[in-house]
Amino acid sequence: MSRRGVGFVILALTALAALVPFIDHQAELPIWQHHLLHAGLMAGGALAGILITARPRGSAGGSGFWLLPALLAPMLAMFAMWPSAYNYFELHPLGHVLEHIVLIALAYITTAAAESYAAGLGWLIGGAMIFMAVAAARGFGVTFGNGS
Amino acid sequence: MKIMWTYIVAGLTIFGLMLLVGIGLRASQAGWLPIDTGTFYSLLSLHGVGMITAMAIAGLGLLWYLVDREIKLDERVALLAFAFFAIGVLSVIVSVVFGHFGALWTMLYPLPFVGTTWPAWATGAWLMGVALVMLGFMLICAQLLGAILRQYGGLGSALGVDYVFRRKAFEAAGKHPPKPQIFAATVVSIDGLIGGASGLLVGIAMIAHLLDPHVAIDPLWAKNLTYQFGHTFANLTMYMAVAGIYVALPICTKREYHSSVPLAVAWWGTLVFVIIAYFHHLYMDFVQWPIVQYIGEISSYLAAVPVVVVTVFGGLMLIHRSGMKWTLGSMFFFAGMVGWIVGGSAAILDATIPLNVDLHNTLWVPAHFHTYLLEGVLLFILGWVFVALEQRAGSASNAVVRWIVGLGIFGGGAIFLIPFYVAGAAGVPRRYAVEPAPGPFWAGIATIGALLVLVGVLAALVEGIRLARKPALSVSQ
Repeated sequence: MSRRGVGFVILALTALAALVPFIDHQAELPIWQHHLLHAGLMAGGALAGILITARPRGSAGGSGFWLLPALLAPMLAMFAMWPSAYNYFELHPLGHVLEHIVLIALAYITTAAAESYAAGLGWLIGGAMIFMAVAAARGFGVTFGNGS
Repeated sequence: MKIMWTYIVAGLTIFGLMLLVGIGLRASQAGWLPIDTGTFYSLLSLHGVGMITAMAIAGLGLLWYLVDREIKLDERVALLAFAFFAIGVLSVIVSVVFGHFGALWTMLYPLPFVGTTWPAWATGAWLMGVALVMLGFMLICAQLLGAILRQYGGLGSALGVDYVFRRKAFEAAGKHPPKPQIFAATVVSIDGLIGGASGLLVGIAMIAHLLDPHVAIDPLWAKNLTYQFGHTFANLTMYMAVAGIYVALPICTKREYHSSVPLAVAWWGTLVFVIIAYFHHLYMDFVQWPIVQYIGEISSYLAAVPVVVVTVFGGLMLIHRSGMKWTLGSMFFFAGMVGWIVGGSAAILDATIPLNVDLHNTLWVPAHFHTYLLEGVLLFILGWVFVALEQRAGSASNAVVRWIVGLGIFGGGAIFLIPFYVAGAAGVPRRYAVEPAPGPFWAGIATIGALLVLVGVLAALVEGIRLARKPALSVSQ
């Protein structure tokens, strides 16, 4: 299977995973676990963005303005992971699935836009975004006994 | 050139304004200038974030130009990033001047939210301002990194991996390693994106907390991210400016600064260790995992020492018996290398755990970073400016001007910096509007030194304008 094909398969599998709230709508996850699951969905979207968009190494690359969505999308994704909204989403599966789709789309845009500017950049900016999503599990909306 | 000068002039203008603020703060600590404590902490917040941003903007202008010489870059992206910087700086100024925000540049959670004397919107304006500055910084980092990846066909080639591990085959194929300034640009770009990601995450968390106080934030997590971004950002200003050494010293000495295996490996060390050296800021946080305290100490040495030693040694070898003329440009670069070593050594001393027990959060900390920024980063930037102006005009400054500038910036700088070290070693705490003895005495000495620095800076400004107004040397001359 071609690289793009693998990318589409990963995107389809990630989109399927995003539908889980329709099946398991009783789930009440701690916020940090919820963040990590979202990070997993974003990793799928990011990987798909790289594989589908990737240019050959050293190729000319596109406009520098691709960098704007590549940098703004991770910021929007962090806002979409607003911790106090999780309680609402756990009670409203449709909204929850939409939130997942938004996160996957933003992750896809991040790496696809970065790769559109330069081959290989998607891995680095996508990696920084996944770092943000995983790191969020340690303190964004949660405390671990260090005060509040 | 237009982009470079836009960034450098903007950066140096902010530097000049923040220098005035800094002189006022030291005079206040000396008891010579009455500033109420609320205003003091607001101005200290502005001074801290303003100085680092000033150096970053000027340094990015230099780095952008050096990469643009090798790989054509889109100026419009740099102008967009500049717009982010400008709006961010304005937002921070509004936050401080009209809102009296005073949680300092570190804005450590929960300080901007608990027991504040300023309105919530001021915190919001501050956070938005810093986020915009970070976005501008990351935009330039991403542009440089993408261009380098395109040019070299991947990160491994850009970092000289083949050159280091398969050198014979590499050279037999007629390939050349990346130029030294490309190593600097690659490292700054990657570490800038990682540090920026940390900064944006903690910034977004704090904006969320501001808008919805139900969003809890783990204080230790916030401190780690804040310092990961803050320490990295401040540190990278040096590595942006250091790139200038590799291009300017060859102009001054008429010798080439070659890439070498030690230089490549030294930059790898900086790449890896700069982003984790920040742990040395959290030695006193007993809930932090003990292992990262050791990582912080080791990384502090490995991030700085190799690249300083290799770069400065290479620089001195270029200068040695080269017949280099001591112009303002070459003086600044030479003195900048001294400041880099002194400021870096003081930083490493503070990062050494048994010494940090005594020096943590004393005036020793501003001592090292003022040395690093004022007598390191700034001098490299000024060095670059004057080398460019001297080249363009085909003439250099006379000895009287060199003495005035030198005595002001280097001599006054020493008089300004030594009190920080002495008072820090005596245990005077940092970030206090009213310091215990012997703080006020040394603050007075430092104020005199800072005024001399101001004289030197003004003399350099006048001389810079004089050189800039001279007609450009034609190629035939």
